[in-house]
Amino acid sequence: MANNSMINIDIYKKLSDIEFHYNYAVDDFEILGVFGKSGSGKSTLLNMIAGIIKPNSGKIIINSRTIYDSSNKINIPINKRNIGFIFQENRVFPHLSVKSNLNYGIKEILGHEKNNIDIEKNDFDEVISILGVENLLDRKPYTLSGGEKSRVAIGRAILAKPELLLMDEPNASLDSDKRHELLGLYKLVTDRFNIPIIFVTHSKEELKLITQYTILIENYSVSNIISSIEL
Amino acid sequence: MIDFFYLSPNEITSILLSLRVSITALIFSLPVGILFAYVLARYSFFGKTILDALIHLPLVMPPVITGYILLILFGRNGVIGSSLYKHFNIVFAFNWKGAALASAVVSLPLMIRTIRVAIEQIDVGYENVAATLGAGRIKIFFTITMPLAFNGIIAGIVIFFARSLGEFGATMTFVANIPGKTNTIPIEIYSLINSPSYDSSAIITLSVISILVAFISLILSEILIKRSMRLQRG
Repeated sequence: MANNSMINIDIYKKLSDIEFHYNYAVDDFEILGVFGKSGSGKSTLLNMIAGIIKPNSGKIIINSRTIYDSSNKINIPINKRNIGFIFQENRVFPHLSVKSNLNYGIKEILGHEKNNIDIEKNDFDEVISILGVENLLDRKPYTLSGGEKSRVAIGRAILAKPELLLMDEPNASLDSDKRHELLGLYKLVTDRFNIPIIFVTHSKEELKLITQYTILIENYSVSNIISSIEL
Repeated sequence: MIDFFYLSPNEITSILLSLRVSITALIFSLPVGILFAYVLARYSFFGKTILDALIHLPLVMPPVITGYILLILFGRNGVIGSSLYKHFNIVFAFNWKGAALASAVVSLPLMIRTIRVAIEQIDVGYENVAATLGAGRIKIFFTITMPLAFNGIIAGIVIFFARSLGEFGATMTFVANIPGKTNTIPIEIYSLINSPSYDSSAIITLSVISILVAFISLILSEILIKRSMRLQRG
């Protein structure tokens, strides 16, 4: 079971003529869903949590760590936030082998032991076997299928030992078999590695399967937080 | 019959000099070129348009003016040249180093353009992913941006080299035509044309070499740019 994870957000962002305002707090989640129509601002929300987009004002607190606070001029850079991100397009580095992709985030963390999630170097083997990518290690990404790329992207993110993992419609380009397979993996990942996930999708079915709570996004703000079964 | 493969000592000297000038120019220009290309591709800042225009100026300005400006700045009594001479004993005027400086200034815009386009084609998403994996800017630059722009960088080097070998106007103005010191291939061709004992076979030989180098370079850089676009698509 994952530790109790807590997220507390109150942010405002103006992008050209669109105003985003997200205000919500959730304690105690393992996988938290984010649901909304396409273009409703789900990705912008994740990008602000990750630090890729800087809000105009507000506050983001994750597990009692303030990663953004405009009134105290706190804005932790992306690479220091320790928040993993699985993008819709996988973004497996095309010039690196699968193994180098998986290793990309590891060395960074070994230097400063700031994390209490116990993924040792040996866990590399466990991660690749859970994800079933042992036989792909020497391959170049262009030889992989979409599903295999997704697995590599997940493995790469987990091995960096994030405190929180953001997923932006990671299954959008896969067929339904692969999709179910991966949903199972996400659950496994949170349980085994103690990494909470914020999971963005426009599939109610996926949310019902793996999340307890879902944040509903409408018109660039949070309209409600509901139990996922009510979707 | 003209013998293409006979090269007089003079011509060999000028070919070797051209190589020395262009390679030196390249070595000093590459880091500068990559830096400017990266900044122009990835950052927006006040005065970017002006910086962009300044960088491209030598591409469209009459080369004779570029040479004249270099003379004013880097001549023995020039604004920068005089102190370089006084403190570091470096002289650019009327020697091969000046020729290298002139061809660097003139060729740099082409290199920056090529590398910049290559960097702009890289999905910023890869850099963002690397950052979420804990990589700082410098690590991302060397492990993601540069490798993905690799073909574009090579294309930039090739195009720089070709342009630099052909450089005439600014070089002639800045360092003049001194046999064995500043007579690069184009300058040697120019002086052969103007000499009383007009030697057309030497002119043709040097011209053919220059044209071949330029032609092969263009094809090579085109292939590399295409290859780098393919790599981006994964």
